Amino acid sequence: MAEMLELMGHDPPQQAHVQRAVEHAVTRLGFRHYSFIQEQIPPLSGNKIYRVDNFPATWTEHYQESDYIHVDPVIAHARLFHGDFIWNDEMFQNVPGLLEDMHRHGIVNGWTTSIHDEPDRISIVSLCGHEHPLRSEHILPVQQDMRRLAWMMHTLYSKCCRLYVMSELPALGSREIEVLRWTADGKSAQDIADILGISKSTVDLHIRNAVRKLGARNKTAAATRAVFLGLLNQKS
Amino acid sequence: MNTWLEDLLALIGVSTPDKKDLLRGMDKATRSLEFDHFSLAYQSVLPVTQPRLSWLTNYPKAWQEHYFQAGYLRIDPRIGRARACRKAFVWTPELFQHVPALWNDLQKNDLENGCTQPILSEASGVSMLSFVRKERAVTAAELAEKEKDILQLAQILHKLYARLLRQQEASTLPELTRREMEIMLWSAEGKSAQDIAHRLGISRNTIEFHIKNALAKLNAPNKTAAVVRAASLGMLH
Repeated sequence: MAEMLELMGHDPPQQAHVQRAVEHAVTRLGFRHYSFIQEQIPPLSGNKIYRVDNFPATWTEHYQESDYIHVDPVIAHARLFHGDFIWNDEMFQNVPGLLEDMHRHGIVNGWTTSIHDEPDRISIVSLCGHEHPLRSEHILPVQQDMRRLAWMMHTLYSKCCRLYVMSELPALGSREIEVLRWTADGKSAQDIADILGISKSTVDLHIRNAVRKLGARNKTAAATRAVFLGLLNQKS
Repeated sequence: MNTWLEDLLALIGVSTPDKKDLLRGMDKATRSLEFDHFSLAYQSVLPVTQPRLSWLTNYPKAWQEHYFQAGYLRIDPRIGRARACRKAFVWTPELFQHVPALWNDLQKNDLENGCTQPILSEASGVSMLSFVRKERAVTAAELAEKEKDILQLAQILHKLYARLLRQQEASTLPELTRREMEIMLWSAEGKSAQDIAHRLGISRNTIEFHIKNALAKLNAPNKTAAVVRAASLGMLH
């Protein structure tokens, strides 16, 4: 856990470092596997799923081939509810095939928590493969550590995820950011031209460039995406 | 394991955290870190060009009022320092050299032994978390020792408080109908009214009618501002 804590102070964190620290922390808590899934709420941040785990490759492939993500009751529960829960067999009563497959691959004795603390994304953290079946009294002594680990994974991977999205976009110029800032607040191109003392056609050009760089369809989509990427935060 | 973090960590799993619980958790954390008071100053994401400042603090009420009346907010060097660098810092006389009045006032009120942790790299706004105590100056060595705890606390509190403010603000607005939400979501993706009319199989006039209603509910001047506002407040789920 100390390693994770160390990384919390790094800006930006390196995904490979985070992964190594997570693996150590997971092992120390008595679990074999973990998975971190961050779902961006479509279409606010581009409708992508960001996923990191240490499941056996055979399980990951099988899970994807069987399209289990759409029927997985753990995911469905985590999407709807905040907080943590221990997996139990009843949850899987409508998908017995998934449960059998999980047992066969050692994906058992699991715990999941979901974190909904940003408006555009949710994080789902699962720990599983504990040597004993999980019961509340069983995990109580380490529950705080599990929550803390999940929170740190959420915080660190959120940053990694944003950085990854941004690394794929061309950098915005300072004028483009300025024009987007006013746009996000509902100013028209003409308003912005008046505010900045430049021509409307120049403002239009900056908006067009920002829209293109952000891979958006129009200025509404561009402004929304820029807000969620934290590109418009005023720091001075 | 720091047990004082437990209460705040538990709040992360709560769908609508309560301000009282936040304050209680912070009281405990503040005492564990050997300080008397804490103060979180949070700057909102929206309006982008005119962000709002909000405070979560257990500073004495009289000081809070005095601070604003004296106009210290505009000249407080801690704010500029916190925006310039994300590293925690100790309050020193040098930091206040251009505003001796504020420094004298802090000393007079036993509020000069403090330190501040900025939070700058979150998409959910920027903030600074400060701790202060009556006795004993804060040394660089002490800060170095507590820095990790303070940073972690600041990150948790920043997110919890941002969420609380979002929920508070959203609750003051009239609820969007399912249709309005649906149309706002498609607009967020950059679809025009015509596109959306096509997709939903209803007339463009009806779409525009819904958009107009959503603008009024969100108190926004145009569609872009309405979409940004609704999305940032988490109203589009």
